[in-house]
Amino acid sequence: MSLLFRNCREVTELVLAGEDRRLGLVERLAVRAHLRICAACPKFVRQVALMHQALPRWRAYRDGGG
Amino acid sequence: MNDFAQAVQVLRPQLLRFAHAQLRNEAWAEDAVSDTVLAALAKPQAFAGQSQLKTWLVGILKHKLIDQIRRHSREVSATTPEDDENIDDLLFDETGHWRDKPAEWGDPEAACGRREFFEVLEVCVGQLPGVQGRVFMMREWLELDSGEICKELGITATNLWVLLHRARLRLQTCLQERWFGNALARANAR
Repeated sequence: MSLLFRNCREVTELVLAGEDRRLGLVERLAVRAHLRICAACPKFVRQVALMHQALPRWRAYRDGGG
Repeated sequence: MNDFAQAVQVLRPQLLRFAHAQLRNEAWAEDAVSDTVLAALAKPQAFAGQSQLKTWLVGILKHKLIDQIRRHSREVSATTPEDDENIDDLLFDETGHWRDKPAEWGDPEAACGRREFFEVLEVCVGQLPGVQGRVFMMREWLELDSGEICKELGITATNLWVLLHRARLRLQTCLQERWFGNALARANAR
């Protein structure tokens, strides 16, 4: 595994890890570099972003209204 | 039974459903809910009507669930073969490329504005393997941080991250199948 050039599998792992821990500088640079040249992973990143927005609202829906 | 006690009892099935979703064990869920109801009935004056009764009870339940998790931590964190299954191998080929490229999910508001979306999300969370489901709920519903979850379950951070990684991937796959992949069917049904 190269430090800066990661494949899609490795990048999705880092993107998801970012939900539960703070990524290091090299990890963030590697993600950014990959997203610039990949057509598929930016869509995955947007899925993760949607989940990130949806989960607090799911919590509110459960605990209050639902 | 007074009105307050009756109102609490009415919410019991819902509390039990939440407790079971978190613990994945009937007996522990039953204990957590009983403890919650007892605590609520012992101190009705603590509920000053400042929030919804359900919200207040869920707040108590969350503490009782953490008590149960602590009490049964070894069983709570005992992985099943399904937990250990590597979902990445299904999604990526040997060279680490996507087998099927991820789909565009569109505007978050379009999904988050629909209660059906949250019901589907709930179903998908319920389908997670045991330990993945428990740690995911601890993180996203009980709102514990990684350090707290590791401490309660006696697992390493690396272990936890693998479980959460798999849970999140499974959830996204499930939502793709049950919600986003069916946008057309849903639009036609309306």
